[in-house]
Amino acid sequence: MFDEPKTYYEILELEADATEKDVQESYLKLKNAFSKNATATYSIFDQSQAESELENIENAFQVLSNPERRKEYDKRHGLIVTEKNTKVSKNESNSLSEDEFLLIPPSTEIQNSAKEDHSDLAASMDTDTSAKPSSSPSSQFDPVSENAEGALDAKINDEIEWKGTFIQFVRIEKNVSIEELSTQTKISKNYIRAIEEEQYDKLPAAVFLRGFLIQMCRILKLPEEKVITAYISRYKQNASYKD
Amino acid sequence: MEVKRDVPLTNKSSNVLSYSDVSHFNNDNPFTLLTSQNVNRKAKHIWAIGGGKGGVGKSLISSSLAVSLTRQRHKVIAIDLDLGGANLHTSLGVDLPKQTLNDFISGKVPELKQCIIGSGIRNLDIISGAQDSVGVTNMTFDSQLKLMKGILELEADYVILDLGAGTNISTLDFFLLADTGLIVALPEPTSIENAYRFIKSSYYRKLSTSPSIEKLWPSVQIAMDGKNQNGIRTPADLFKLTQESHPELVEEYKKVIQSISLKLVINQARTQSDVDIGHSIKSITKKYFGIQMEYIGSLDYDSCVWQAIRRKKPLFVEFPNSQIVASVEKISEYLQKLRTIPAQNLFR
Repeated sequence: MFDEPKTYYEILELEADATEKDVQESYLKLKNAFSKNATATYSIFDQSQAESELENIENAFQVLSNPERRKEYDKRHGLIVTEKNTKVSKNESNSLSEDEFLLIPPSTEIQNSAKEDHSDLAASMDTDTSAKPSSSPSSQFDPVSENAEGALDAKINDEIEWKGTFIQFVRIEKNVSIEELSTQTKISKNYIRAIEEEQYDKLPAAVFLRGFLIQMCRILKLPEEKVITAYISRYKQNASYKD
Repeated sequence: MEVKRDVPLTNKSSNVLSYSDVSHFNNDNPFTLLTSQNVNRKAKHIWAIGGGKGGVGKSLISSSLAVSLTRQRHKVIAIDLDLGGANLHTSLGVDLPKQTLNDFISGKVPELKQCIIGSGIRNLDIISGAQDSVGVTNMTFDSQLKLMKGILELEADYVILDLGAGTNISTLDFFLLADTGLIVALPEPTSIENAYRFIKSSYYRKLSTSPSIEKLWPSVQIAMDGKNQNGIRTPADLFKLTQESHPELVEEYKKVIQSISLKLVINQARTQSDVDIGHSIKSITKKYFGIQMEYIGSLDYDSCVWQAIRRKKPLFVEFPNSQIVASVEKISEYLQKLRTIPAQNLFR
Protein backbone atom coordinates (compact mmCIF):
# COMPACT_ATOMS: atom_id res chain seq x y z
CA MET A 1 0.00 0.00 0.00
CA PHE A 2 1.88 3.05 -1.24
CA ASP A 3 5.14 1.50 -0.23
CA GLU A 4 7.83 2.33 -2.74
CA PRO A 5 9.48 0.95 -4.67
CA LYS A 6 6.90 -1.35 -6.17
CA THR A 7 7.99 -4.59 -7.75
CA TYR A 8 7.19 -5.13 -11.39
CA TYR A 9 4.74 -7.81 -10.33
CA GLU A 10 2.88 -5.37 -8.15
CA ILE A 11 2.78 -2.79 -10.91
CA LEU A 12 1.17 -5.29 -13.26
CA GLU A 13 -1.03 -6.67 -10.48
CA LEU A 14 0.45 -10.13 -10.90
CA GLU A 15 1.51 -12.95 -8.65
CA ALA A 16 5.10 -14.13 -8.86
CA ASP A 17 4.00 -17.27 -10.70
CA ALA A 18 2.03 -15.45 -13.38
CA THR A 19 2.08 -17.08 -16.81
CA GLU A 20 3.08 -15.25 -19.96
CA LYS A 21 -0.57 -14.99 -20.83
CA ASP A 22 -1.33 -13.43 -17.45
CA VAL A 23 1.44 -10.90 -18.02
CA GLN A 24 0.11 -10.02 -21.45
CA GLU A 25 -3.47 -9.66 -20.26
CA SER A 26 -2.61 -7.57 -17.26
CA TYR A 27 -0.41 -5.33 -19.34
CA LEU A 28 -3.17 -4.63 -21.82
CA LYS A 29 -5.75 -4.04 -19.11
CA LEU A 30 -3.54 -1.60 -17.27
CA LYS A 31 -2.42 0.21 -20.39
CA ASN A 32 -6.07 0.71 -21.12
CA ALA A 33 -6.83 1.94 -17.63
CA PHE A 34 -4.20 4.68 -17.75
CA SER A 35 -4.43 5.53 -21.41
CA LYS A 36 -4.83 9.10 -22.58
CA ASN A 37 -8.33 10.38 -21.84
CA ALA A 38 -9.37 7.10 -20.30
CA THR A 39 -12.71 7.49 -18.58
CA ALA A 40 -11.55 5.55 -15.56
CA THR A 41 -8.86 8.06 -14.60
CA TYR A 42 -11.26 10.96 -14.79
CA SER A 43 -11.28 13.06 -11.62
CA ILE A 44 -8.59 10.96 -9.94
CA PHE A 45 -5.40 11.12 -11.96
CA ASP A 46 -4.33 13.91 -14.23
CA GLN A 47 -2.59 13.42 -17.55
CA SER A 48 0.95 13.53 -16.20
CA GLN A 49 0.23 11.12 -13.36
CA ALA A 50 -1.38 8.73 -15.81
CA GLU A 51 1.62 9.00 -18.10
CA SER A 52 4.01 8.35 -15.28
CA GLU A 53 2.09 5.24 -14.35
CA LEU A 54 2.05 4.13 -17.99
CA GLU A 55 5.82 4.39 -17.95
CA ASN A 56 5.99 2.12 -14.92
CA ILE A 57 3.65 -0.33 -16.60
CA GLU A 58 5.75 -0.27 -19.76
CA ASN A 59 8.98 -0.87 -17.85
CA ALA A 60 7.44 -3.69 -15.89
CA PHE A 61 6.12 -5.34 -19.02
CA GLN A 62 9.43 -5.07 -20.86
CA VAL A 63 11.08 -7.11 -18.16
CA LEU A 64 8.36 -9.54 -17.21
CA SER A 65 7.39 -10.41 -20.76
CA ASN A 66 10.95 -11.39 -21.59
CA PRO A 67 11.69 -14.77 -19.99
CA GLU A 68 15.40 -14.14 -19.57
CA ARG A 69 15.05 -10.66 -18.15
CA ARG A 70 12.30 -11.89 -15.90
CA LYS A 71 14.47 -14.65 -14.52
CA GLU A 72 17.22 -12.15 -13.89
CA TYR A 73 14.81 -9.78 -12.21
CA ASP A 74 13.50 -12.54 -9.97
CA LYS A 75 17.00 -13.52 -9.01
CA ARG A 76 17.91 -9.94 -8.28
CA HIS A 77 15.08 -9.65 -5.89
CA GLY A 78 16.31 -12.78 -4.22
CA LEU A 79 19.64 -10.98 -3.83
CA ILE A 80 18.08 -8.16 -1.84
CA VAL A 81 16.96 -10.75 0.65
CA THR A 82 20.47 -12.13 1.19
CA GLU A 83 21.77 -8.72 2.16
CA LYS A 84 19.44 -8.74 5.11
CA ASN A 85 20.47 -12.27 6.04
CA THR A 86 16.94 -13.62 5.94
CA LYS A 87 15.61 -16.34 3.73
CA VAL A 88 12.55 -15.10 1.96
CA SER A 89 10.75 -16.69 -0.95
CA LYS A 90 9.93 -14.81 -4.12
CA ASN A 91 6.33 -14.49 -3.07
CA GLU A 92 7.27 -12.49 -0.02
CA SER A 93 9.04 -9.90 -2.08
CA ASN A 94 5.93 -7.77 -1.67
CA SER A 95 6.33 -7.39 2.06
CA LEU A 96 10.02 -6.95 1.55
CA SER A 97 9.62 -3.58 -0.09
CA GLU A 98 7.71 -2.29 2.93
CA ASP A 99 10.44 -3.41 5.29
CA GLU A 100 13.03 -1.80 3.10
CA PHE A 101 11.15 1.38 3.25
CA LEU A 102 10.77 1.55 7.00
CA LEU A 103 13.98 0.11 8.35
CA ILE A 104 17.42 1.52 8.25
CA PRO A 105 19.18 -1.32 6.45
CA PRO A 106 21.60 -3.27 8.58
CA SER A 107 25.24 -2.91 7.69
CA THR A 108 26.44 -5.13 4.92
CA GLU A 109 29.89 -6.21 4.00
CA ILE A 110 30.22 -3.42 1.52
CA GLN A 111 29.29 -0.77 4.02
CA ASN A 112 31.58 -2.20 6.69
CA SER A 113 34.64 -2.12 4.53
CA ALA A 114 33.67 1.35 3.49
CA LYS A 115 33.60 2.54 7.07
CA GLU A 116 37.15 1.41 7.61
CA ASP A 117 38.40 3.33 4.63
CA HIS A 118 36.06 6.17 5.27
CA SER A 119 38.63 8.78 6.04
CA ASP A 120 40.67 8.03 2.96
CA LEU A 121 37.66 8.00 0.75
CA ALA A 122 36.33 11.16 2.28
CA ALA A 123 39.54 12.90 1.40
CA SER A 124 39.48 11.71 -2.17
CA MET A 125 35.80 12.46 -2.43
CA ASP A 126 36.31 16.03 -1.43
CA THR A 127 38.83 16.41 -4.16
CA ASP A 128 36.46 15.01 -6.71
CA THR A 129 33.39 16.84 -5.63
CA SER A 130 35.13 20.16 -5.55
CA ALA A 131 35.19 20.00 -9.32
CA LYS A 132 33.00 22.71 -10.77
CA PRO A 133 29.90 21.40 -12.53
CA SER A 134 30.78 22.98 -15.80
CA SER A 135 34.32 21.77 -15.88
CA SER A 136 35.39 18.45 -17.23
CA PRO A 137 35.57 15.48 -14.90
CA SER A 138 38.70 14.65 -12.93
CA SER A 139 41.93 14.12 -14.80
CA GLN A 140 41.52 10.39 -14.50
CA PHE A 141 39.00 10.41 -17.30
CA ASP A 142 39.26 11.57 -20.82
CA PRO A 143 35.67 12.33 -21.77
CA VAL A 144 36.44 11.66 -25.37
CA SER A 145 37.91 8.26 -24.74
CA GLU A 146 35.83 5.15 -25.21
CA ASN A 147 36.34 4.32 -21.56
CA ALA A 148 34.48 7.37 -20.36
CA GLU A 149 31.23 5.54 -19.74
CA GLY A 150 32.95 2.60 -18.12
CA ALA A 151 34.90 5.00 -15.96
CA LEU A 152 31.76 6.76 -14.84
CA ASP A 153 30.18 3.45 -13.98
CA ALA A 154 33.25 2.55 -11.95
CA LYS A 155 32.97 5.79 -10.06
CA ILE A 156 29.30 5.15 -9.40
CA ASN A 157 30.12 1.68 -8.23
CA ASP A 158 32.77 2.90 -5.83
CA GLU A 159 30.77 5.76 -4.47
CA ILE A 160 29.88 5.55 -0.81
CA GLU A 161 28.79 8.94 0.46
CA TRP A 162 26.40 9.98 -2.29
CA LYS A 163 26.62 13.65 -1.54
CA GLY A 164 24.43 15.93 -3.54
CA THR A 165 27.45 17.20 -5.41
CA PHE A 166 28.23 13.71 -6.64
CA ILE A 167 24.68 13.17 -7.77
CA GLN A 168 24.95 16.43 -9.64
CA PHE A 169 28.24 15.32 -11.14
CA VAL A 170 26.66 12.13 -12.46
CA ARG A 171 23.71 14.00 -13.83
CA ILE A 172 25.93 16.34 -15.76
CA GLU A 173 28.13 13.53 -16.97
CA LYS A 174 25.07 11.90 -18.40
CA ASN A 175 24.04 15.11 -20.09
CA VAL A 176 20.82 15.46 -18.23
CA SER A 177 19.76 18.99 -17.41
CA ILE A 178 17.82 19.80 -14.27
CA GLU A 179 14.94 20.69 -16.53
CA GLU A 180 14.97 17.31 -18.16
CA LEU A 181 15.37 15.46 -14.91
CA SER A 182 12.47 17.43 -13.51
CA THR A 183 10.26 16.51 -16.44
CA GLN A 184 11.13 12.85 -16.29
CA THR A 185 10.83 12.44 -12.54
CA LYS A 186 8.01 14.94 -11.97
CA ILE A 187 10.08 16.44 -9.17
CA SER A 188 10.23 20.21 -9.09
CA LYS A 189 13.52 21.81 -10.13
CA ASN A 190 13.81 23.51 -6.77
CA TYR A 191 13.81 20.20 -4.97
CA ILE A 192 16.36 18.75 -7.37
CA ARG A 193 18.60 21.73 -6.75
CA ALA A 194 18.08 21.47 -3.02
CA ILE A 195 19.00 17.78 -3.14
CA GLU A 196 22.14 18.43 -5.14
CA GLU A 197 23.12 21.34 -2.94
CA GLU A 198 22.15 19.54 0.26
CA GLN A 199 20.01 22.43 1.44
CA TYR A 200 18.13 20.46 4.03
CA ASP A 201 15.80 23.21 5.06
CA LYS A 202 14.46 23.35 1.53
CA LEU A 203 13.77 19.63 1.37
CA PRO A 204 10.51 17.95 2.34
CA ALA A 205 10.09 15.26 5.01
CA ALA A 206 12.22 12.16 4.67
CA VAL A 207 9.36 10.07 3.32
CA PHE A 208 8.96 12.37 0.34
CA LEU A 209 12.67 12.86 -0.07
CA ARG A 210 13.08 9.13 -0.28
CA GLY A 211 10.57 9.00 -3.09
CA PHE A 212 12.41 11.77 -4.94
CA LEU A 213 15.74 10.06 -4.61
CA ILE A 214 14.28 6.84 -5.92
CA GLN A 215 12.95 8.63 -8.99
CA MET A 216 16.25 10.37 -9.61
CA CYS A 217 18.15 7.11 -9.25
CA ARG A 218 15.89 5.45 -11.76
CA ILE A 219 16.46 8.09 -14.39
CA LEU A 220 20.17 8.46 -13.72
CA LYS A 221 20.61 4.70 -13.33
CA LEU A 222 22.08 4.86 -9.85
CA PRO A 223 21.94 2.13 -7.21
CA GLU A 224 18.82 3.11 -5.29
CA GLU A 225 19.48 1.39 -1.99
CA LYS A 226 23.01 2.72 -1.65
CA VAL A 227 22.11 6.26 -2.55
CA ILE A 228 19.10 6.43 -0.29
CA THR A 229 20.77 4.85 2.71
CA ALA A 230 23.70 7.23 2.54
CA TYR A 231 21.79 10.37 1.64
CA ILE A 232 18.92 9.91 4.07
CA SER A 233 21.11 9.03 7.04
CA ARG A 234 23.17 12.16 6.43
CA TYR A 235 19.97 14.15 5.98
CA LYS A 236 18.56 12.86 9.25
CA GLN A 237 21.73 13.71 11.14
CA ASN A 238 21.81 17.19 9.76
CA ALA A 239 18.21 18.23 9.49
CA SER A 240 17.76 20.64 12.37
CA TYR A 241 14.04 20.39 12.74
CA LYS A 242 13.83 16.66 13.24
CA ASP A 243 12.75 15.95 16.81
CA MET B 1 -16.31 18.86 6.97
CA GLU B 2 -14.54 21.96 8.13
CA VAL B 3 -11.01 21.75 9.37
CA LYS B 4 -10.73 22.16 13.10
CA ARG B 5 -8.47 25.17 13.57
CA ASP B 6 -7.59 24.34 17.14
CA VAL B 7 -5.48 21.34 16.16
CA PRO B 8 -1.93 22.49 16.85
CA LEU B 9 0.83 21.70 14.39
CA THR B 10 4.29 21.04 15.72
CA ASN B 11 6.06 22.33 12.67
CA LYS B 12 4.40 23.13 9.40
CA SER B 13 7.32 22.08 7.27
CA SER B 14 7.61 18.69 8.87
CA ASN B 15 3.93 17.97 8.43
CA VAL B 16 3.82 16.24 11.77
CA LEU B 17 0.67 17.00 13.64
CA SER B 18 0.38 16.56 17.33
CA TYR B 19 -2.26 14.47 18.94
CA SER B 20 -4.58 16.84 20.67
CA ASP B 21 -8.03 16.58 22.11
CA VAL B 22 -10.02 14.25 19.88
CA SER B 23 -12.98 13.68 22.11
CA HIS B 24 -15.22 15.46 19.65
CA PHE B 25 -14.48 12.70 17.17
CA ASN B 26 -15.79 10.14 19.58
CA ASN B 27 -18.99 12.05 20.04
CA ASP B 28 -19.77 11.66 16.35
CA ASN B 29 -18.64 8.09 16.10
CA PRO B 30 -21.63 5.79 15.92
CA PHE B 31 -19.41 2.70 15.72
CA THR B 32 -17.77 3.24 19.07
CA LEU B 33 -21.05 4.29 20.64
CA LEU B 34 -22.72 1.13 19.43
CA THR B 35 -20.08 -1.06 21.02
CA SER B 36 -21.13 0.27 24.39
CA GLN B 37 -24.80 -0.37 23.74
CA ASN B 38 -25.15 -4.13 23.97
CA VAL B 39 -26.20 -4.71 20.42
CA ASN B 40 -27.88 -8.07 20.04
CA ARG B 41 -26.92 -8.74 16.45
CA LYS B 42 -29.28 -11.06 14.66
CA ALA B 43 -28.78 -10.01 11.05
CA LYS B 44 -26.54 -12.70 9.62
CA HIS B 45 -25.28 -10.84 6.56
CA ILE B 46 -25.64 -7.18 5.73
CA TRP B 47 -25.09 -5.97 2.17
CA ALA B 48 -25.10 -2.29 1.34
CA ILE B 49 -25.55 -0.97 -2.17
CA GLY B 50 -24.18 2.51 -2.80
CA GLY B 51 -22.31 4.42 -5.43
CA GLY B 52 -22.76 8.07 -4.96
CA LYS B 53 -24.81 8.85 -8.01
CA GLY B 54 -28.57 8.87 -8.37
CA GLY B 55 -30.12 6.81 -11.09
CA VAL B 56 -27.34 4.27 -11.56
CA GLY B 57 -29.58 1.39 -10.62
CA LYS B 58 -29.02 0.94 -6.89
CA SER B 59 -32.67 0.25 -6.12
CA LEU B 60 -32.97 -2.02 -9.10
CA ILE B 61 -29.93 -4.01 -8.08
CA SER B 62 -30.89 -4.03 -4.39
CA SER B 63 -34.36 -5.36 -5.13
CA SER B 64 -33.09 -7.88 -7.66
CA LEU B 65 -30.40 -9.19 -5.33
CA ALA B 66 -32.96 -9.42 -2.56
CA VAL B 67 -35.31 -11.48 -4.72
CA SER B 68 -32.46 -13.66 -5.93
CA LEU B 69 -31.56 -14.45 -2.33
CA THR B 70 -35.08 -15.57 -1.54
CA ARG B 71 -34.78 -18.12 -4.35
CA GLN B 72 -32.08 -19.76 -2.28
CA ARG B 73 -34.57 -19.99 0.58
CA HIS B 74 -32.96 -17.20 2.57
CA LYS B 75 -34.98 -14.87 4.76
CA VAL B 76 -34.34 -11.38 3.43
CA ILE B 77 -35.20 -7.88 4.59
CA ALA B 78 -34.51 -5.03 2.19
CA ILE B 79 -34.35 -1.51 3.60
CA ASP B 80 -34.70 1.69 1.65
CA LEU B 81 -32.30 4.19 3.19
CA ASP B 82 -32.69 6.76 0.47
CA LEU B 83 -34.67 9.28 2.44
CA GLY B 84 -36.20 11.77 0.09
CA GLY B 85 -35.52 9.51 -2.89
CA ALA B 86 -37.11 6.27 -1.82
CA ASN B 87 -37.62 3.94 -4.78
CA LEU B 88 -37.22 0.47 -3.39
CA HIS B 89 -40.93 -0.08 -2.89
CA THR B 90 -41.58 0.98 -6.49
CA SER B 91 -38.98 -1.45 -7.84
CA LEU B 92 -40.81 -4.20 -6.04
CA GLY B 93 -44.30 -3.08 -6.88
CA VAL B 94 -45.31 -2.38 -3.29
CA ASP B 95 -47.85 0.41 -3.35
CA LEU B 96 -47.87 3.07 -0.68
CA PRO B 97 -46.73 1.11 2.33
CA LYS B 98 -48.54 1.86 5.58
CA GLN B 99 -45.65 1.77 7.98
CA THR B 100 -42.36 3.26 6.84
CA LEU B 101 -38.90 4.14 8.03
CA ASN B 102 -39.98 7.65 8.77
CA ASP B 103 -42.32 6.42 11.43
CA PHE B 104 -39.35 4.90 13.19
CA ILE B 105 -37.09 7.88 12.71
CA SER B 106 -39.71 10.30 13.92
CA GLY B 107 -40.26 8.19 17.00
CA LYS B 108 -43.86 7.39 16.17
CA VAL B 109 -42.97 3.73 16.12
CA PRO B 110 -40.49 2.62 18.81
CA GLU B 111 -39.01 -0.45 17.13
CA LEU B 112 -37.61 -0.83 13.64
CA LYS B 113 -39.14 -4.24 13.17
CA GLN B 114 -42.57 -2.68 13.43
CA CYS B 115 -41.88 -1.07 10.07
CA ILE B 116 -41.36 -4.35 8.29
CA ILE B 117 -43.96 -5.04 5.64
CA GLY B 118 -44.39 -7.82 3.12
CA SER B 119 -43.28 -7.38 -0.46
CA GLY B 120 -45.58 -9.86 -2.09
CA ILE B 121 -42.59 -12.12 -2.64
CA ARG B 122 -42.06 -15.10 -0.39
CA ASN B 123 -39.30 -14.66 2.20
CA LEU B 124 -38.77 -11.04 1.27
CA ASP B 125 -39.86 -8.24 3.57
CA ILE B 126 -39.06 -4.61 3.18
CA ILE B 127 -38.77 -1.44 5.17
CA SER B 128 -39.79 1.32 2.86
CA GLY B 129 -38.68 4.92 2.85
CA ALA B 130 -41.84 6.20 1.28
CA GLN B 131 -44.23 8.71 2.81
CA ASP B 132 -41.29 10.82 3.90
CA SER B 133 -42.28 14.11 5.41
CA VAL B 134 -41.26 16.93 3.19
CA GLY B 135 -37.86 18.21 4.22
CA VAL B 136 -36.72 15.16 6.14
CA THR B 137 -33.73 14.20 4.05
CA ASN B 138 -31.10 14.22 6.77
CA MET B 139 -31.61 12.23 9.88
CA THR B 140 -30.17 13.34 13.20
CA PHE B 141 -27.20 11.58 14.73
CA ASP B 142 -29.38 9.98 17.37
CA SER B 143 -31.82 8.68 14.78
CA GLN B 144 -28.97 7.29 12.76
CA LEU B 145 -27.58 5.52 15.80
CA LYS B 146 -30.99 4.09 16.67
CA LEU B 147 -31.41 2.94 13.10
CA MET B 148 -28.00 1.30 12.93
CA LYS B 149 -28.75 -0.65 16.09
CA GLY B 150 -32.17 -1.56 14.74
CA ILE B 151 -30.68 -2.92 11.53
CA LEU B 152 -28.13 -5.05 13.35
CA GLU B 153 -30.90 -6.54 15.47
CA LEU B 154 -33.21 -7.51 12.62
CA GLU B 155 -33.86 -11.20 12.39
CA ALA B 156 -32.88 -12.15 8.89
CA ASP B 157 -30.37 -14.16 6.90
CA TYR B 158 -29.69 -11.18 4.67
CA VAL B 159 -30.36 -7.50 5.22
CA ILE B 160 -30.04 -5.46 2.05
CA LEU B 161 -29.45 -1.72 2.46
CA ASP B 162 -30.42 0.37 -0.54
CA LEU B 163 -28.47 3.55 0.12
CA GLY B 164 -29.20 7.00 -1.14
CA ALA B 165 -27.18 8.97 -3.61
CA GLY B 166 -24.49 11.32 -2.39
CA THR B 167 -21.89 11.03 0.30
CA ASN B 168 -23.52 12.37 3.41
CA ILE B 169 -22.31 10.89 6.64
CA SER B 170 -25.34 8.69 7.31
CA THR B 171 -24.96 7.08 3.91
CA LEU B 172 -21.28 6.44 4.51
CA ASP B 173 -21.91 5.00 7.94
CA PHE B 174 -24.52 2.57 6.66
CA PHE B 175 -22.14 1.56 3.92
CA LEU B 176 -19.39 0.92 6.43
CA LEU B 177 -21.79 -0.94 8.74
CA ALA B 178 -22.33 -3.62 6.12
CA ASP B 179 -20.29 -6.80 5.76
CA THR B 180 -20.26 -6.36 2.01
CA GLY B 181 -20.38 -3.01 0.26
CA LEU B 182 -21.39 -2.82 -3.37
CA ILE B 183 -20.61 0.17 -5.52
CA VAL B 184 -22.77 0.53 -8.59
CA ALA B 185 -21.54 2.72 -11.43
CA LEU B 186 -22.46 3.37 -15.01
CA PRO B 187 -19.63 3.31 -17.55
CA GLU B 188 -19.68 7.08 -17.93
CA PRO B 189 -17.54 9.87 -16.54
CA THR B 190 -20.17 11.45 -14.26
CA SER B 191 -21.02 8.19 -12.58
CA ILE B 192 -17.39 7.15 -12.27
CA GLU B 193 -16.48 10.49 -10.79
CA ASN B 194 -19.18 10.04 -8.18
CA ALA B 195 -18.05 6.52 -7.46
CA TYR B 196 -14.54 7.75 -6.70
CA ARG B 197 -15.99 10.49 -4.57
CA PHE B 198 -17.94 7.88 -2.67
CA ILE B 199 -14.88 5.69 -2.18
CA LYS B 200 -12.84 8.66 -1.06
CA SER B 201 -15.44 9.72 1.48
CA SER B 202 -15.78 6.17 2.78
CA TYR B 203 -12.01 5.95 3.08
CA TYR B 204 -11.68 8.98 5.28
CA ARG B 205 -14.84 8.21 7.23
CA LYS B 206 -13.54 4.71 7.98
CA LEU B 207 -10.28 6.15 9.27
CA SER B 208 -12.06 8.76 11.38
CA THR B 209 -14.25 6.19 13.06
CA SER B 210 -11.55 3.66 13.92
CA PRO B 211 -10.39 4.22 17.48
CA SER B 212 -7.33 2.03 16.99
CA ILE B 213 -5.75 4.87 15.01
CA GLU B 214 -7.12 7.68 17.14
CA LYS B 215 -3.77 9.50 17.08
CA LEU B 216 -4.15 10.00 13.33
CA TRP B 217 -7.54 11.67 13.54
CA PRO B 218 -6.23 15.22 13.42
CA SER B 219 -4.31 14.40 10.23
CA VAL B 220 -7.32 12.63 8.73
CA GLN B 221 -9.39 15.70 9.47
CA ILE B 222 -6.90 17.86 7.61
CA ALA B 223 -6.72 15.41 4.72
CA MET B 224 -10.48 15.60 4.28
CA ASP B 225 -10.15 19.26 3.50
CA GLY B 226 -9.22 19.05 -0.15
CA LYS B 227 -7.73 22.54 -0.05
CA ASN B 228 -5.59 22.04 3.04
CA GLN B 229 -2.25 23.80 3.15
CA ASN B 230 -0.36 20.88 4.63
CA GLY B 231 0.28 19.11 1.38
CA ILE B 232 -1.96 16.17 2.21
CA ARG B 233 -3.55 15.85 -1.18
CA THR B 234 -4.12 12.16 -1.54
CA PRO B 235 -4.59 9.05 0.57
CA ALA B 236 -0.99 8.22 -0.31
CA ASP B 237 0.14 11.50 1.29
CA LEU B 238 -1.76 10.66 4.44
CA PHE B 239 -0.27 7.19 4.53
CA LYS B 240 3.24 8.54 4.07
CA LEU B 241 2.66 11.08 6.81
CA THR B 242 1.63 8.22 9.07
CA GLN B 243 4.80 6.33 8.22
CA GLU B 244 6.74 9.41 9.16
CA SER B 245 4.92 10.57 12.26
CA HIS B 246 3.41 7.39 13.69
CA PRO B 247 5.21 4.42 12.20
CA GLU B 248 3.85 2.20 14.95
CA LEU B 249 0.33 2.77 13.55
CA VAL B 250 1.13 1.86 9.96
CA GLU B 251 0.09 -1.77 10.26
CA GLU B 252 -3.15 -0.84 11.97
CA TYR B 253 -3.82 1.82 9.31
CA LYS B 254 -3.46 -0.81 6.62
CA LYS B 255 -5.69 -3.23 8.51
CA VAL B 256 -8.40 -0.61 8.88
CA ILE B 257 -8.35 0.29 5.20
CA GLN B 258 -8.22 -3.30 4.08
CA SER B 259 -11.30 -4.05 6.14
CA ILE B 260 -13.38 -1.78 3.91
CA SER B 261 -15.37 -4.10 1.72
CA LEU B 262 -15.70 -2.79 -1.82
CA LYS B 263 -17.26 -4.68 -4.70
CA LEU B 264 -17.85 -2.96 -8.01
CA VAL B 265 -20.74 -3.57 -10.36
CA ILE B 266 -20.92 -1.78 -13.70
CA ASN B 267 -24.50 -1.28 -14.77
CA GLN B 268 -25.96 -0.55 -18.20
CA ALA B 269 -22.97 -1.80 -20.12
CA ARG B 270 -23.45 -1.58 -23.87
CA THR B 271 -20.04 -2.43 -25.26
CA GLN B 272 -17.06 -4.54 -24.37
CA SER B 273 -15.18 -1.44 -23.35
CA ASP B 274 -18.00 -0.59 -20.96
CA VAL B 275 -17.50 -3.97 -19.38
CA ASP B 276 -13.72 -3.52 -19.35
CA ILE B 277 -13.92 -0.21 -17.57
CA GLY B 278 -14.64 -2.07 -14.36
CA HIS B 279 -11.10 -3.49 -14.44
CA SER B 280 -9.68 -0.04 -14.98
CA ILE B 281 -11.60 1.42 -12.07
CA LYS B 282 -10.42 -1.44 -9.91
CA SER B 283 -6.77 -0.81 -10.83
CA ILE B 284 -7.06 2.89 -10.30
CA THR B 285 -8.72 2.41 -6.94
CA LYS B 286 -5.80 0.21 -5.94
CA LYS B 287 -3.30 2.75 -7.15
CA TYR B 288 -4.91 5.83 -5.67
CA PHE B 289 -6.48 4.51 -2.47
CA GLY B 290 -4.47 1.39 -1.81
CA ILE B 291 -7.76 -0.50 -1.54
CA GLN B 292 -8.28 -3.83 -3.23
CA MET B 293 -11.73 -3.39 -4.73
CA GLU B 294 -13.18 -6.40 -6.48
CA TYR B 295 -14.86 -6.04 -9.83
CA ILE B 296 -17.58 -8.63 -9.50
CA GLY B 297 -19.46 -8.14 -12.72
CA SER B 298 -21.36 -6.02 -15.15
CA LEU B 299 -25.00 -5.83 -16.12
CA ASP B 300 -25.86 -5.21 -19.72
CA TYR B 301 -28.19 -2.46 -20.68
CA ASP B 302 -31.40 -4.34 -21.04
CA SER B 303 -34.73 -3.06 -22.23
CA CYS B 304 -36.41 -5.45 -19.81
CA VAL B 305 -35.35 -3.12 -17.07
CA TRP B 306 -37.19 -0.02 -18.12
CA GLN B 307 -40.18 -2.11 -18.97
CA ALA B 308 -40.27 -3.64 -15.52
CA ILE B 309 -39.80 -0.24 -13.93
CA ARG B 310 -42.65 1.24 -15.92
CA ARG B 311 -44.87 -1.60 -14.83
CA LYS B 312 -43.63 -1.23 -11.28
CA LYS B 313 -43.00 -4.93 -11.11
CA PRO B 314 -39.86 -6.71 -9.94
CA LEU B 315 -37.51 -7.63 -12.75
CA PHE B 316 -37.28 -11.20 -11.58
CA VAL B 317 -41.03 -11.61 -11.69
CA GLU B 318 -41.63 -9.91 -15.04
CA PHE B 319 -38.65 -11.22 -17.01
CA PRO B 320 -37.39 -14.29 -15.20
CA ASN B 321 -35.59 -15.66 -18.25
CA SER B 322 -33.86 -12.48 -19.29
CA GLN B 323 -30.12 -12.10 -19.62
CA ILE B 324 -30.05 -9.49 -16.94
CA VAL B 325 -31.74 -11.70 -14.40
CA ALA B 326 -29.17 -14.38 -15.16
CA SER B 327 -26.37 -11.84 -14.59
CA VAL B 328 -27.82 -10.73 -11.29
CA GLU B 329 -28.12 -14.34 -10.18
CA LYS B 330 -24.47 -14.87 -10.96
CA ILE B 331 -23.48 -11.84 -8.90
CA SER B 332 -25.74 -12.94 -6.08
CA GLU B 333 -24.24 -16.43 -6.05
CA TYR B 334 -20.75 -15.02 -6.00
CA LEU B 335 -21.49 -12.68 -3.12
CA GLN B 336 -23.08 -15.44 -1.10
CA LYS B 337 -19.94 -17.50 -1.37
CA LEU B 338 -17.76 -14.67 -0.13
CA ARG B 339 -16.13 -15.02 3.21
CA THR B 340 -15.82 -11.69 4.88
CA ILE B 341 -12.72 -11.01 6.93
CA PRO B 342 -13.33 -10.83 10.68
CA ALA B 343 -12.69 -7.11 10.79
CA GLN B 344 -15.66 -6.56 8.51
CA ASN B 345 -18.10 -8.41 10.73
CA LEU B 346 -19.14 -5.69 13.08
CA PHE B 347 -20.87 -6.43 16.36
CA ARG B 348 -20.89 -10.18 16.09
